[in-house]
Amino acid sequence: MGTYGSSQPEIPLTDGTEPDQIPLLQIRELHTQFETKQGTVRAVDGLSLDLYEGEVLGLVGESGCGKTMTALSIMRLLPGNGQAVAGEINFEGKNLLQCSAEEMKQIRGGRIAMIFQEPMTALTPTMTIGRQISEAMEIHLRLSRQEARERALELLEHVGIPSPRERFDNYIHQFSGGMRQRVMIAIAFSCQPRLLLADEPTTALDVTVQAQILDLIKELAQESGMTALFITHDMGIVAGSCDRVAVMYAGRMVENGPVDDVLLNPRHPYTQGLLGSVPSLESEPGDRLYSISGLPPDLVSLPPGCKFWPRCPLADDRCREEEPVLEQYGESRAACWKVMPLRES
Amino acid sequence: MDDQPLLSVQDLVKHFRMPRRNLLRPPDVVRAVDGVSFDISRGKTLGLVGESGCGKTTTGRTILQLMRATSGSVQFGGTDLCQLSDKELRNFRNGMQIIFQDPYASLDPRMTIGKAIAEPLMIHEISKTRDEARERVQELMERVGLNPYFINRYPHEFSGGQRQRIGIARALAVDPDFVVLDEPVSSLDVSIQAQILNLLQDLQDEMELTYLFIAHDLRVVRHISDRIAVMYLGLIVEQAPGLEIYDEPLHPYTQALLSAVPWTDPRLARKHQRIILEGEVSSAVNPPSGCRFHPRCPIAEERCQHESPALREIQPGHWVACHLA
Ligand SMILES: Nc1ncnc2c1ncn2[C@@H]1O[C@H](COP(=O)(O)OP(=O)(O)OP(=O)(O)O)[C@@H](O)[C@H]1O
Ligand SMILES: Nc1ncnc2c1ncn2[C@@H]1O[C@H](COP(=O)(O)OP(=O)(O)O)[C@@H](O)[C@H]1O
Ligand code: SF4
Ligand code: SF4
Ligand SMILES: [Mg+2]
Ligand SMILES: [Mg+2]
Repeated sequence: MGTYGSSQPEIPLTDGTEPDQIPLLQIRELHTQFETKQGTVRAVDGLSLDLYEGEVLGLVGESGCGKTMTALSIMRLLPGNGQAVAGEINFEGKNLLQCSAEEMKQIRGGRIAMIFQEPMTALTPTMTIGRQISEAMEIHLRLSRQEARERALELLEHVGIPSPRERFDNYIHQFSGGMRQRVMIAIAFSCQPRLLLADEPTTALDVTVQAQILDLIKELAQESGMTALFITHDMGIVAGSCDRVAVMYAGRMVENGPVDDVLLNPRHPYTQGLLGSVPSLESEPGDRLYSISGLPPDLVSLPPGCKFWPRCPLADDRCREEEPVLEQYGESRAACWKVMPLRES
Repeated sequence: MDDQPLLSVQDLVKHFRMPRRNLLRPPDVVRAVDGVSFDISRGKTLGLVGESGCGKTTTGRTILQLMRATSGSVQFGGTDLCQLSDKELRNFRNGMQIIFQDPYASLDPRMTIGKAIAEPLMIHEISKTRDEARERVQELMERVGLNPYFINRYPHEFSGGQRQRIGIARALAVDPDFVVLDEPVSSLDVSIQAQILNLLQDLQDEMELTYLFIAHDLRVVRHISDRIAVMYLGLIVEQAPGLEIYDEPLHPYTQALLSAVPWTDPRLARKHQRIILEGEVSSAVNPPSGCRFHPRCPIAEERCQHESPALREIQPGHWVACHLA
């Protein structure tokens, strides 16, 4: 039987304003590039981002804007021809970009865990799911095989896998999409990471399962005081699950701030476009959606000036020549020459 | 509904017989669609929603006779398509088209998009000559927001949103009355989703198209539909005018679905009481007895396990299948 009620917290984890502390994760001027026949793909192009202890930060933008490559740069798991060529990623006093392969192995799955959009690509099809969870704990937490098994069973139960003892020796193809994602979450949480990177963890799932998974991640994060970077293209998920939000376009940040401030008073025309593209409860049937025209730019040959100008309804000569930098507006920051005046509240 | 519906589906059933796994037992039957009825008036949109595997695609494809129904009828402009032979059906093919979720899979990678859009024109002998077809293709491309300059390019040279425009142009080439849209924007970015939704609405107005819009994003469905039907395990459990179902969902399953919608207003997101459905959809091979939703229903009673609730008209035009509604 289902139950009424909600595990959603009434109050967000933090109030969304930047606390006066040293960030847990600090990305400075990150440039991640791919050398291809067409030229250099600037997947991440000067991104700076702070993540504070205990908060959930949403990273949003259209596909191809560099969200996944940001996460993979942090994990140092970029695909073959990709490289973080400049910048710093500071975590617990270390610049991850300078860590040795050996150090990174310890950090991955230990202090920093990642949940991927397609769990099948991240799980081993030939190993039972029980082994996959317990093996990580044997390595990172130095548990004995028996201890790891017990803990893995607890975790499976905790993430909502029914009859975990029977499912322990199953293979991943025996699970549904939602169950696979639960297994991924069990693995991610198994070594009590301080930082969780979740890359579109629910994009492939039904809304009902999506709600279950988001609540589960939030609950586990709150229990353990973990910090999370939540990558999504859906502003609705940001609204329901994040404290702060950072909007990315063409490999850079164009706006960030507390969720309420950014979603209710978006300053950047791109953020306004992303929000307007999603039908709301206020829209009447038959209304036209506010849509962003055109496509994201080719990352091999970015336009001069503001990268958004070819699609921006407000663009003028200055936009086409000079690139705007992030400026503070109230509690948020936006990079646009023509930030809208604040809506009266 | 005020006027004669263009499409009227009655008690539609589609079962799939699975290969026999055990010779001592009868073969498994997947009851993908198990008695579905609805009408769609000309120029209107019915939104069909429900979790993965509940039978939405099967419903759409069976209506178009892309697969034959196990039983039931599909009246299209007064003719029961289920009774027609394959040959007789050919005359109706132009009138009905389908647009898929994955535009890439539905386009031949070795065919230029000009040829792909022209194909239905030539097959159905709508354009008599090549030049005529070419002219019509250019017109269609412009209409769906593609630059006719790209007529000789191949599908892989286009983005997802552009490929969906190609799919739309191809479907509209034969000037249909009725279009099944099966998750037409699910694989697209929100920004591109909005462009395509606007396009579909404009085309509907101009061409008086009738849509069956299949989707699982209830924000999108609310935006585009006149009526909405909610499916669960092969059955429609609630059907009502669009806004009414959002304002006053009467079936516990609809209530749960709506409570999980990620609206973009953070105040709404926090205020919303989520109804978390436990477990997953039951199997369509052995659907639960009584009300098929009872194993997950938060308010199920004893009789829900034995008696299956009939669809009842609770308010004018608002149908619900629940003992307690
Ligand atoms: N050719 C087939 N043979 C056997 N079973 C099938 C076949 N096609 C569909 N089914 C089954 O019928 C049921 C309904 O499938 P259908 O594709 O209509 O669902 P859907 O609502 O469109 O789901 P989704 O949202 O995932 O697209 C599912 O249980 C599916 O596995
Ligand atoms: N292996 C690769 N080779 C070349 N370009 C790549 C590769 N992987 C990703 N990219 C490019 O990097 C950019 C950012 O990609 P990604 O971070 O995956 O975007 P997002 O996660 O925001 O959708 C895209 O333009 C993508 O095409
Ligand atoms: S800087 Fe100019 S082009 Fe860029 S977003 Fe602002 S108004 Fe638009
Ligand atoms: S009939 Fe019973 S089990 Fe079915 S939806 Fe209504 S209350 Fe729930
Ligand atoms: Mg990605
Ligand atoms: Mg389907």
